[in-house]
Amino acid sequence: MSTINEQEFRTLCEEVRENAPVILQGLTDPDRKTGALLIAVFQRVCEHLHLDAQAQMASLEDRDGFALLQTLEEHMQPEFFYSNIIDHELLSAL
Amino acid sequence: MENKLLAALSEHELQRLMPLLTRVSLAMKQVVYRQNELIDYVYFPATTIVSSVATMEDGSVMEVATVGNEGMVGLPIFLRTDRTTLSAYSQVVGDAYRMTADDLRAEVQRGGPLVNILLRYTEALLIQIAQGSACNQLHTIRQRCARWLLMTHDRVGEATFAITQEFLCQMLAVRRATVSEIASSLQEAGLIRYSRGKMTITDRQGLQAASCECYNVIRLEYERALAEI
Repeated sequence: MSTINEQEFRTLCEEVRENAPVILQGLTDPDRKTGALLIAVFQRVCEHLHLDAQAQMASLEDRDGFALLQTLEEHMQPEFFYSNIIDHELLSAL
Repeated sequence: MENKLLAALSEHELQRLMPLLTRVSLAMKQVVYRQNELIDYVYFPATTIVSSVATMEDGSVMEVATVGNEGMVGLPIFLRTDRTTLSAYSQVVGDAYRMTADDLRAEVQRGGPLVNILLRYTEALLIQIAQGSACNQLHTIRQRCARWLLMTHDRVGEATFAITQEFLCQMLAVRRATVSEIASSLQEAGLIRYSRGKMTITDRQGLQAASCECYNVIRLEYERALAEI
Protein backbone atom coordinates (compact mmCIF):
# COMPACT_ATOMS: atom_id res chain seq x y z
CA MET A 1 0.00 0.00 0.00
CA SER A 2 1.29 3.46 -0.88
CA THR A 3 1.97 5.74 2.07
CA ILE A 4 2.45 9.39 2.96
CA ASN A 5 4.55 10.79 5.78
CA GLU A 6 4.31 14.06 7.70
CA GLN A 7 6.87 15.96 5.64
CA GLU A 8 5.33 14.87 2.35
CA PHE A 9 1.89 15.98 3.53
CA ARG A 10 3.27 19.28 4.80
CA THR A 11 4.85 19.93 1.41
CA LEU A 12 1.57 19.23 -0.40
CA CYS A 13 -0.25 21.65 1.92
CA GLU A 14 2.39 24.31 1.32
CA GLU A 15 1.99 23.89 -2.46
CA VAL A 16 -1.77 24.34 -2.19
CA ARG A 17 -1.32 27.30 0.09
CA GLU A 18 0.97 28.98 -2.45
CA ASN A 19 -1.62 28.30 -5.10
CA ALA A 20 -4.52 29.47 -2.90
CA PRO A 21 -5.18 32.75 -4.75
CA VAL A 22 -5.90 30.75 -7.92
CA ILE A 23 -7.91 28.04 -6.15
CA LEU A 24 -10.03 30.58 -4.30
CA GLN A 25 -10.52 32.86 -7.27
CA GLY A 26 -14.19 33.76 -7.67
CA LEU A 27 -15.16 32.37 -4.27
CA THR A 28 -16.50 35.17 -2.16
CA ASP A 29 -18.31 33.22 0.54
CA PRO A 30 -15.88 32.45 3.39
CA ASP A 31 -17.68 29.19 4.12
CA ARG A 32 -16.95 27.77 0.67
CA LYS A 33 -13.23 28.53 0.73
CA THR A 34 -12.30 25.85 3.28
CA GLY A 35 -13.94 23.13 1.20
CA ALA A 36 -12.11 24.31 -1.93
CA LEU A 37 -8.70 24.13 -0.22
CA LEU A 38 -9.41 20.72 1.31
CA ILE A 39 -10.43 19.32 -2.06
CA ALA A 40 -7.28 20.73 -3.67
CA VAL A 41 -5.10 19.01 -1.04
CA PHE A 42 -7.13 15.81 -1.34
CA GLN A 43 -6.43 15.68 -5.08
CA ARG A 44 -2.70 16.14 -4.47
CA VAL A 45 -2.67 13.50 -1.75
CA CYS A 46 -4.40 11.07 -4.11
CA GLU A 47 -1.85 11.84 -6.83
CA HIS A 48 0.93 11.18 -4.35
CA LEU A 49 -0.66 7.87 -3.33
CA HIS A 50 -1.48 6.90 -6.94
CA LEU A 51 -5.18 6.77 -6.08
CA ASP A 52 -8.06 7.75 -8.34
CA ALA A 53 -9.40 10.80 -6.47
CA GLN A 54 -12.94 10.45 -7.78
CA ALA A 55 -13.15 6.75 -6.93
CA GLN A 56 -11.65 7.37 -3.50
CA MET A 57 -14.12 10.15 -2.77
CA ALA A 58 -17.02 8.00 -3.95
CA SER A 59 -15.91 5.06 -1.81
CA LEU A 60 -15.89 7.31 1.25
CA GLU A 61 -19.24 8.96 0.37
CA ASP A 62 -17.60 12.28 0.97
CA ARG A 63 -19.15 15.63 1.61
CA ASP A 64 -16.54 18.37 1.85
CA GLY A 65 -13.37 17.32 3.56
CA PHE A 66 -13.97 13.92 5.06
CA ALA A 67 -12.29 12.07 2.17
CA LEU A 68 -9.01 13.90 2.77
CA LEU A 69 -8.94 13.13 6.48
CA GLN A 70 -9.92 9.49 6.13
CA THR A 71 -7.45 8.94 3.27
CA LEU A 72 -4.70 10.27 5.53
CA GLU A 73 -5.86 7.97 8.34
CA GLU A 74 -5.57 4.99 6.02
CA HIS A 75 -2.27 5.83 4.33
CA MET A 76 -0.11 7.82 6.75
CA GLN A 77 3.08 6.06 7.75
CA PRO A 78 4.29 6.67 10.39
CA GLU A 79 1.24 8.20 12.06
CA PHE A 80 1.24 11.95 12.52
CA PHE A 81 -1.24 14.63 13.60
CA TYR A 82 -2.48 16.03 10.32
CA SER A 83 -5.03 18.45 11.87
CA ASN A 84 -2.35 20.84 13.07
CA ILE A 85 -0.75 20.86 9.63
CA ILE A 86 -4.10 21.52 7.94
CA ASP A 87 -4.80 24.36 10.38
CA HIS A 88 -1.39 26.00 10.23
CA GLU A 89 -0.10 25.26 6.73
CA LEU A 90 -3.36 25.36 4.82
CA LEU A 91 -6.37 27.05 6.40
CA SER A 92 -4.35 29.97 7.67
CA ALA A 93 -4.22 30.97 3.98
CA LEU A 94 -7.86 32.03 4.27
CA MET B 1 -36.61 25.09 11.07
CA GLU B 2 -34.07 22.50 12.32
CA ASN B 3 -32.31 24.80 14.76
CA LYS B 4 -34.12 24.57 18.08
CA LEU B 5 -33.31 28.11 19.23
CA LEU B 6 -34.68 29.64 16.05
CA ALA B 7 -37.59 27.21 16.11
CA ALA B 8 -38.50 28.50 19.58
CA LEU B 9 -39.21 31.95 18.10
CA SER B 10 -42.74 32.87 17.09
CA GLU B 11 -43.49 32.53 13.38
CA HIS B 12 -43.68 36.31 13.09
CA GLU B 13 -40.32 36.80 14.81
CA LEU B 14 -38.65 34.07 12.77
CA GLN B 15 -39.90 35.61 9.52
CA ARG B 16 -38.53 38.97 10.62
CA LEU B 17 -35.09 37.41 11.22
CA MET B 18 -34.97 35.16 8.13
CA PRO B 19 -33.56 37.88 5.81
CA LEU B 20 -30.60 38.13 8.21
CA LEU B 21 -29.93 34.37 8.08
CA THR B 22 -28.08 32.60 5.27
CA ARG B 23 -28.08 28.82 5.07
CA VAL B 24 -24.49 27.65 4.50
CA SER B 25 -22.77 24.29 4.28
CA LEU B 26 -19.79 23.70 6.58
CA ALA B 27 -16.99 21.35 5.53
CA MET B 28 -15.43 18.94 8.00
CA LYS B 29 -12.72 20.77 9.96
CA GLN B 30 -13.98 24.13 8.76
CA VAL B 31 -12.83 26.87 11.09
CA VAL B 32 -15.79 28.87 12.36
CA TYR B 33 -13.62 31.17 14.40
CA ARG B 34 -10.04 31.14 15.58
CA GLN B 35 -8.51 31.75 18.97
CA ASN B 36 -8.19 35.52 19.63
CA GLU B 37 -9.36 36.54 16.16
CA LEU B 38 -12.34 38.75 15.37
CA ILE B 39 -15.62 36.84 15.06
CA ASP B 40 -17.42 37.94 11.88
CA TYR B 41 -20.39 35.58 11.93
CA VAL B 42 -22.47 33.54 14.35
CA TYR B 43 -23.96 30.19 13.33
CA PHE B 44 -27.17 28.42 14.27
CA PRO B 45 -26.42 24.78 13.33
CA ALA B 46 -29.10 22.91 11.42
CA THR B 47 -27.40 19.62 10.63
CA THR B 48 -23.74 20.37 11.36
CA ILE B 49 -22.00 20.06 14.73
CA VAL B 50 -19.36 22.51 15.86
CA SER B 51 -16.79 21.96 18.59
CA SER B 52 -15.38 24.74 20.75
CA VAL B 53 -11.83 23.78 21.62
CA ALA B 54 -9.10 25.09 23.86
CA THR B 55 -5.69 25.15 22.18
CA MET B 56 -2.46 24.86 24.15
CA GLU B 57 0.91 26.44 23.24
CA ASP B 58 2.19 23.11 21.88
CA GLY B 59 -0.77 22.92 19.49
CA SER B 60 -2.64 20.23 21.39
CA VAL B 61 -6.37 20.83 21.64
CA MET B 62 -9.27 19.63 23.73
CA GLU B 63 -12.97 20.09 23.18
CA VAL B 64 -14.74 22.16 25.81
CA ALA B 65 -18.21 22.27 24.25
CA THR B 66 -20.24 20.68 21.48
CA VAL B 67 -22.85 22.75 19.67
CA GLY B 68 -25.45 21.27 17.37
CA ASN B 69 -29.00 22.14 16.41
CA GLU B 70 -29.81 22.92 20.06
CA GLY B 71 -27.55 25.96 20.09
CA MET B 72 -25.59 28.80 18.56
CA VAL B 73 -21.89 29.20 17.80
CA GLY B 74 -20.55 32.65 18.50
CA LEU B 75 -21.78 33.31 22.01
CA PRO B 76 -18.99 35.91 22.63
CA ILE B 77 -20.89 38.23 20.28
CA PHE B 78 -24.07 37.80 22.32
CA LEU B 79 -22.01 38.50 25.44
CA ARG B 80 -20.83 41.76 23.87
CA THR B 81 -17.24 40.91 23.14
CA ASP B 82 -15.72 40.33 19.71
CA ARG B 83 -13.29 37.42 20.18
CA THR B 84 -12.42 34.56 22.50
CA THR B 85 -9.49 32.41 23.57
CA LEU B 86 -11.29 29.35 22.18
CA SER B 87 -11.44 28.18 18.58
CA ALA B 88 -14.46 26.59 16.94
CA TYR B 89 -14.68 24.27 13.97
CA SER B 90 -17.15 21.87 12.45
CA GLN B 91 -16.76 18.24 13.43
CA VAL B 92 -19.59 16.89 11.28
CA VAL B 93 -20.29 18.07 7.74
CA GLY B 94 -23.66 19.80 7.48
CA ASP B 95 -25.59 23.04 7.25
CA ALA B 96 -26.05 26.01 9.53
CA TYR B 97 -27.85 29.35 9.47
CA ARG B 98 -25.30 32.14 9.46
CA MET B 99 -25.86 35.69 10.73
CA THR B 100 -23.33 38.50 10.74
CA ALA B 101 -21.95 39.49 14.12
CA ASP B 102 -23.21 43.03 13.51
CA ASP B 103 -26.76 41.81 12.93
CA LEU B 104 -26.70 39.79 16.15
CA ARG B 105 -25.36 42.80 18.04
CA ALA B 106 -28.26 44.85 16.67
CA GLU B 107 -30.70 42.16 17.80
CA VAL B 108 -29.19 42.13 21.27
CA GLN B 109 -29.46 45.90 21.39
CA ARG B 110 -33.08 45.65 20.28
CA GLY B 111 -33.78 43.18 23.09
CA GLY B 112 -36.32 40.95 21.37
CA PRO B 113 -37.33 37.34 22.09
CA LEU B 114 -34.06 36.02 20.66
CA VAL B 115 -32.19 37.58 23.58
CA ASN B 116 -34.31 35.69 26.09
CA ILE B 117 -33.73 32.44 24.19
CA LEU B 118 -29.97 33.02 24.06
CA LEU B 119 -29.85 33.76 27.78
CA ARG B 120 -31.44 30.37 28.50
CA TYR B 121 -29.06 28.74 26.03
CA THR B 122 -26.04 30.39 27.67
CA GLU B 123 -27.02 28.85 31.01
CA ALA B 124 -27.36 25.38 29.45
CA LEU B 125 -24.02 25.74 27.69
CA LEU B 126 -22.33 26.75 30.94
CA ILE B 127 -23.70 23.59 32.53
CA GLN B 128 -22.34 21.53 29.63
CA ILE B 129 -18.89 23.07 30.04
CA ALA B 130 -18.89 22.72 33.85
CA GLN B 131 -20.19 19.16 33.82
CA GLY B 132 -17.77 18.26 31.02
CA SER B 133 -14.89 19.66 33.01
CA ALA B 134 -15.81 17.54 36.05
CA CYS B 135 -16.36 14.52 33.81
CA ASN B 136 -12.90 14.87 32.29
CA GLN B 137 -11.37 14.68 35.76
CA LEU B 138 -13.54 12.03 37.36
CA HIS B 139 -14.67 9.55 34.71
CA THR B 140 -12.88 6.99 32.58
CA ILE B 141 -11.97 7.61 28.96
CA ARG B 142 -14.40 4.85 27.94
CA GLN B 143 -17.26 6.63 29.77
CA ARG B 144 -16.28 9.98 28.27
CA CYS B 145 -16.06 8.48 24.80
CA ALA B 146 -19.54 6.94 25.21
CA ARG B 147 -20.90 10.31 26.39
CA TRP B 148 -19.34 12.13 23.44
CA LEU B 149 -20.77 9.62 20.98
CA LEU B 150 -24.24 9.92 22.53
CA MET B 151 -24.14 13.72 22.43
CA THR B 152 -23.03 13.65 18.80
CA HIS B 153 -25.70 11.08 17.95
CA ASP B 154 -28.39 13.30 19.52
CA ARG B 155 -27.31 16.26 17.43
CA VAL B 156 -26.76 14.47 14.11
CA GLY B 157 -30.06 12.61 14.40
CA GLU B 158 -28.76 9.73 12.30
CA ALA B 159 -27.32 6.41 13.44
CA THR B 160 -24.22 6.75 11.24
CA PHE B 161 -21.91 9.75 11.05
CA ALA B 162 -18.38 10.42 9.80
CA ILE B 163 -15.67 10.83 12.41
CA THR B 164 -11.95 10.26 12.09
CA GLN B 165 -9.82 8.72 14.82
CA GLU B 166 -7.71 11.86 15.07
CA PHE B 167 -10.79 13.94 15.68
CA LEU B 168 -11.89 11.64 18.47
CA CYS B 169 -8.35 11.91 19.92
CA GLN B 170 -8.72 15.69 19.98
CA MET B 171 -12.21 15.62 21.45
CA LEU B 172 -11.10 13.39 24.31
CA ALA B 173 -7.51 14.66 24.56
CA VAL B 174 -6.04 11.17 24.42
CA ARG B 175 -3.52 9.35 22.25
CA ARG B 176 -4.49 7.62 19.03
CA ALA B 177 -3.71 4.19 20.48
CA THR B 178 -6.11 4.86 23.37
CA VAL B 179 -8.95 5.86 21.03
CA SER B 180 -8.31 2.77 18.96
CA GLU B 181 -8.44 0.59 22.05
CA ILE B 182 -11.67 2.19 23.35
CA ALA B 183 -13.37 2.00 19.95
CA SER B 184 -12.47 -1.69 19.71
CA SER B 185 -13.82 -2.30 23.19
CA LEU B 186 -17.14 -0.55 22.42
CA GLN B 187 -17.33 -2.40 19.12
CA GLU B 188 -16.70 -5.78 20.73
CA ALA B 189 -19.47 -5.01 23.22
CA GLY B 190 -21.80 -4.47 20.24
CA LEU B 191 -22.47 -0.83 21.07
CA ILE B 192 -20.96 0.74 17.95
CA ARG B 193 -19.62 -0.20 14.54
CA TYR B 194 -16.65 1.76 13.21
CA SER B 195 -15.27 1.32 9.74
CA ARG B 196 -13.38 3.67 7.41
CA GLY B 197 -14.29 6.72 9.46
CA LYS B 198 -17.99 5.90 9.65
CA MET B 199 -19.35 5.53 13.17
CA THR B 200 -22.65 3.70 13.64
CA ILE B 201 -24.41 3.58 16.98
CA THR B 202 -25.80 0.05 17.08
CA ASP B 203 -26.97 -0.12 20.71
CA ARG B 204 -27.87 3.28 22.08
CA GLN B 205 -29.19 1.94 25.38
CA GLY B 206 -25.99 -0.03 25.90
CA LEU B 207 -23.94 3.05 25.08
CA GLN B 208 -25.88 5.02 27.70
CA ALA B 209 -25.08 2.31 30.23
CA ALA B 210 -21.40 2.54 29.25
CA SER B 211 -21.47 6.33 29.70
CA CYS B 212 -21.53 8.27 32.98
CA GLU B 213 -24.28 10.38 34.57
CA CYS B 214 -22.90 13.48 32.85
CA TYR B 215 -24.65 12.62 29.59
CA ASN B 216 -28.09 12.82 31.23
CA VAL B 217 -27.23 15.89 33.31
CA ILE B 218 -26.29 17.82 30.17
CA ARG B 219 -29.18 16.51 28.07
CA LEU B 220 -31.79 17.32 30.72
CA GLU B 221 -30.39 20.83 31.18
CA TYR B 222 -30.85 21.56 27.46
CA GLU B 223 -34.36 20.12 27.55
CA ARG B 224 -35.19 22.28 30.57
CA ALA B 225 -33.70 25.39 28.97
CA LEU B 226 -35.75 24.99 25.81
CA ALA B 227 -38.90 24.02 27.68
CA GLU B 228 -38.78 27.22 29.71
CA ILE B 229 -38.61 29.48 26.68
